[in-house]
Amino acid sequence: MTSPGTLTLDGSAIGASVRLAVKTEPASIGEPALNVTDLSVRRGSVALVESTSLSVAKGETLCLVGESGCGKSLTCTAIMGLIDAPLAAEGSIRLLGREIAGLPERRLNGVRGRDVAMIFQDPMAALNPIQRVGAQVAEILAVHGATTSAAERSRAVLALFERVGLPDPARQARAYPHQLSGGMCQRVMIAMAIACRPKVLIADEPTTALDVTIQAQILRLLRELQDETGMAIVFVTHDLGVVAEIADRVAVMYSGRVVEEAGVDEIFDAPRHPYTRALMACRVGTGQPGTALPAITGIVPAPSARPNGCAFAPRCDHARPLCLVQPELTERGKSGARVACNLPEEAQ
Amino acid sequence: MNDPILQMIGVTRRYETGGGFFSKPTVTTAVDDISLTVAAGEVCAIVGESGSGKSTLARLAAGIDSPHAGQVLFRGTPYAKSGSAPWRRERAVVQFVFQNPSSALDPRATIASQIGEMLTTHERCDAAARKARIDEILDRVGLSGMGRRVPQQMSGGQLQRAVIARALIVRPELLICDEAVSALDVSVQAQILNLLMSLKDEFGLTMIFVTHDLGVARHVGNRIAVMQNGRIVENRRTSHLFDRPRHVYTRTLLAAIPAATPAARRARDAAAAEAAT
Repeated sequence: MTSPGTLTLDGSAIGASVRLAVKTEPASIGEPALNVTDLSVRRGSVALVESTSLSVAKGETLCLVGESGCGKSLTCTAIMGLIDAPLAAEGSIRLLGREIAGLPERRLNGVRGRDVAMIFQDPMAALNPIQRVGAQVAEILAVHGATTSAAERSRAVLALFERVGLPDPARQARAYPHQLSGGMCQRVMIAMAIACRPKVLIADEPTTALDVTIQAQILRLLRELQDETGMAIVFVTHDLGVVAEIADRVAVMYSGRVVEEAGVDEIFDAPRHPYTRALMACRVGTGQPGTALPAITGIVPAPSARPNGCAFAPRCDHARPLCLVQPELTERGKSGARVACNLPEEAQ
Repeated sequence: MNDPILQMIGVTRRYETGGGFFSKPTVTTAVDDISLTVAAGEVCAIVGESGSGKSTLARLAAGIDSPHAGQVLFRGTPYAKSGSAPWRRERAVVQFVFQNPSSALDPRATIASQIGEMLTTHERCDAAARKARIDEILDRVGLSGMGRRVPQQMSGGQLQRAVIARALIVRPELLICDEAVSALDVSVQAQILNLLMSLKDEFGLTMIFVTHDLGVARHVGNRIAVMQNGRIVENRRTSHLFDRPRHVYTRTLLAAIPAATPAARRARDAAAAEAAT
């Protein structure tokens, strides 16, 4: 292993792990890699994400699950400090023990891409269409001062491409995004994201636009990279199969709030919140083919038209008058699972 | 097996892509010498990855695209020449549901008028009968009283119900769904799949269900045809395909389906590790 602040990367190390060490303040003992407290994102008076708290430890993968419009992507965007007017974010975001919410843009630029990096759903849209992909990855290294010369950068890029499984890295580095398939572009995005060995990786539906075989490869790649680097991953998905593949812990979001957070086995084996249970039940491909699926009736309310109290109550089979009060996310059981439901435990 | 309702015999469809002023276009064979028979009353799922040619196959089956080689027979006869009177009748018996309901509907017209337009095109129908038919089908797809809305006032799931109502009001025999539930959320996807399955029985529909999602294909399909590079590599009863896949590509696809539970994932990974040693 090398001392922090230096870079060891020889382009010849085929198949070997890419070692890019960049100086970062070590996280204090016991502090999670990322700790989000009471995060809200508003448009005017409408809360799109409301008092969301999450934390991810080093080497851990937290899956953020929910249907469209529940605030998963906005939560990620807010963590990256990318919320722009007319939206406004508030709350605390501690990265490696350091508050980054409200940092000025110039300071944030030193953090983004280096300590925390993001992979977007649509790699074609996230890459610059008129710049060669190799140059786009090299730019990250240049910006964060991880390398000293252009030659060193291009060697580093080739090693990164090798690591993310792009065949013939030298040729791919000269390609433009439109010349690559969706899966290839996503590998380029991942190479870009891990270039500076971030401690936290935010992956917003990174496999949703990809075919199943490519999805399986990308999930495997992310797991391997995590084993190597010990990065924490926040992984957004609406696909419970992907959750089963990659999650250590799961936070289920509904209509702007986290309604349940628990270990992945607990979420699958003993989901507590009625919404989590309904989601699990209406998965396709688990039940008897041809039979009616236990669908959730109704639709997710628009953020401007949320009912009072629990937002899921109008669609919940167990709703009672006490559901008109907003439930708090509280700890249940011995495992540390947190659930936001007013129903007594035996009714869940 | 029932009578075949649709037969595709050695069907090929090519596309020219790229090609500028000085360069020749590249020819892609989207559907390559495919033969497929769909029996009356069955649900035939077509699965494959992007670019495998499944949407082209669906369009050929519906007669909204014509092949370069081979034949598409509906109840034993080829599709009529477009624009002719028999063609208009055929359009009614084969209907199509697209992936993205918001782009399949006119954003400015009410749902009722868009559904009613089908009756104007395909049938003679007086105003009172027309209204009754529209109300009946809206009721059936779970959109009672929503006929006066325009698409913008409805959710994705409701829009897909409207598209299904529009397809079914002319009482088609064959319904072709191209990724009809792919753009929907999990909970809504379940609602729409349930609706399609109950309508299938009620209307005595034959269905071709194109999807990239093997879970959906398994749930709805009596039979699954797996496509790769414009060809059908395996075409069998659903249970046989899942229990004993024959083609190597089918096995690759099945192996890539995410595990159902974390416990299943660990069991699979452990088995793979054991096999590797």
